[in-house]
Amino acid sequence: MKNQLAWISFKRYLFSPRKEWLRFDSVFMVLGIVISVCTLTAALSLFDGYTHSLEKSMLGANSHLYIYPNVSDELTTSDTNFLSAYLKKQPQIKAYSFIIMKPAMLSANDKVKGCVIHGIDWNSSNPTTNYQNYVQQGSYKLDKPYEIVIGEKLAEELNISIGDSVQILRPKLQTGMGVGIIPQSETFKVVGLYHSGMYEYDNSYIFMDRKQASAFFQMKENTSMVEIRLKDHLIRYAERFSIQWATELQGRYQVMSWMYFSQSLFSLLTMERWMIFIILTFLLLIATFNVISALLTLILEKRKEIGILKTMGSNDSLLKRIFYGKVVVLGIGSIIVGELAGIALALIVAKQTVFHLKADVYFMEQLTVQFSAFNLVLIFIVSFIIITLGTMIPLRKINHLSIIEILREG
Amino acid sequence: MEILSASHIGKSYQEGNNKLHVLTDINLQVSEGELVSITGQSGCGKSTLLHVLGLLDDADSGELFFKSTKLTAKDKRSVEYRRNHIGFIFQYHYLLEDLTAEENVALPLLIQGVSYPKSMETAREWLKMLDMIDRKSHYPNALSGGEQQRIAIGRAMIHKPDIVFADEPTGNLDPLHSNEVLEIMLKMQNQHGQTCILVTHNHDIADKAPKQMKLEQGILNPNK
Repeated sequence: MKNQLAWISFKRYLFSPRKEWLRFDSVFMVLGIVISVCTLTAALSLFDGYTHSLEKSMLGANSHLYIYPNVSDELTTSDTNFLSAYLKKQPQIKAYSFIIMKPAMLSANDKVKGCVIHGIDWNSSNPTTNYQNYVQQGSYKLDKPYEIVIGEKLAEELNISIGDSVQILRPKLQTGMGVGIIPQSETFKVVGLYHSGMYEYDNSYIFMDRKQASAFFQMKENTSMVEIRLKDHLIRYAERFSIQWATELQGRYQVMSWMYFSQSLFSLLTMERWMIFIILTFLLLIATFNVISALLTLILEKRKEIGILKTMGSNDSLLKRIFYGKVVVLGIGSIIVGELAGIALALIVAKQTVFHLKADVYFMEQLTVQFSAFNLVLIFIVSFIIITLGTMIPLRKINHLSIIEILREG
Repeated sequence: MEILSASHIGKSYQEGNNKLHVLTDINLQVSEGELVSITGQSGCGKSTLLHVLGLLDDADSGELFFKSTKLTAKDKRSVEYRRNHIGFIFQYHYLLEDLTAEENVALPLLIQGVSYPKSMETAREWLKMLDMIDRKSHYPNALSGGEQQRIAIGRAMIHKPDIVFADEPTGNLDPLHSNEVLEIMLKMQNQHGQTCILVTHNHDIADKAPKQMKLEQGILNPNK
């Protein structure tokens, strides 16, 4: 019941004609919290957006698990039969596909660049990658001999357009001549450009029909590995399945998950994310100095009122509630405004077209933004705790205000 | 019935190397419904005495009893006593600037935990008695000095305290408002049978109390 005095006092603080919350120190307190929460929200949303886009591009361009033979670089017919039977029994799998993935060199317009050939079943009804969606220029169909789709950035670098003919060089081991590896080449026609958004892939991937790839690499068999797409909700457990299946397959095959290939990158990103959070939380700590000074000023200005309330039998906890309520509700308002401003700022940064990231450094050119309830709640809770702790310092002053001294001051 | 009893109260202040003995041996008994005035020269320790009797400050020596309960300002119960059994009127009104006139009057009830509507209802009754009902929604800065002090009187008495301490309640007012406030205070005291200790240096005001005391050299003596 005694909280009603704190409530009335707070209402008057906000709505009385004197509009005390518009005082200079209160405005700076609010601005400090809004700016720091805004920065924190925007930074985390953009960083999460970047990580999410990176992951999405990686998982769109690649599968979740790869199985390939331990000793050979090709899967035999008995391997494919055995693995097909095994994989059909795994309920976690959404799709699997036998593919060829091998390095090669692409030559066009007097330039040569290393690339990765993907021999795929391009017209699969249950695809293991987003290949078809990522071919945005030209055609994704590879139904005629010597047709290929190449990465957009690779095409840009070698000045290749759709319809151009290019040379692909394969490493060929020459035996008996004592010269090791010498390249052999064939001519292909570019029918489409591939854009995953991930610079590394768009700058190195070449797609051709699996049988075409097998012929190009002069393979005895038609496949070098299996790529597997897990059901969506199981993607994060890929590493666990890779260990389980490797054990079940009794060491005959290597089973690698997407997490294995990207583990260090994503570990680094996670660490960076928390570093950003911690460093930007210091901004909030600095803003809390404004809270401390604003509240201390308010308490010192209201000494007489505190004194008279103490003479009327208000205990210190009621007085603290009155002042805490004023500052904390302003603080909560500031956090919410800060989060909304952070969302707006992140959207502006993500949508702007003036500045681009260096794709060869950051993998992608454009920032994206991802908002998560977890982030917003985490920022809210941390901000609230810091502000509350900040109020505790000046609130202690109330304990030490002497009624007699205040009354003597008149 | 005896409400307040003080015996051998002493109080001194350290001023540099000197000890200033303000109260040396105060003895006072106040009965229910009694109006007691305490006079004395400026600086003789009247306010200090009131602060000690009102459990705002501790005495160096002596004992203070409220309805036979021994209390000191340091005692945790003193807060509860000030909340429920004591009212104060000061020379300066000390109204809360963010609260309206009726909310200021209702403050002791709100501090006690009485509901807001009930507190306001009681406050309005008091404002009627104080002839201030038309000013109930005004903030203190929109009231005259006399009106502000009337609000302070209502605030001191609304929770029906056992005893009201008034420290120069008209000290800040011009003669016209001073008389007006004093009349109202005495009327309220009379109407509600309120026990009241009135400290003043004005003998005309002190003369209105049936029991008059004078503070001289730290000792309280009957004035007549």
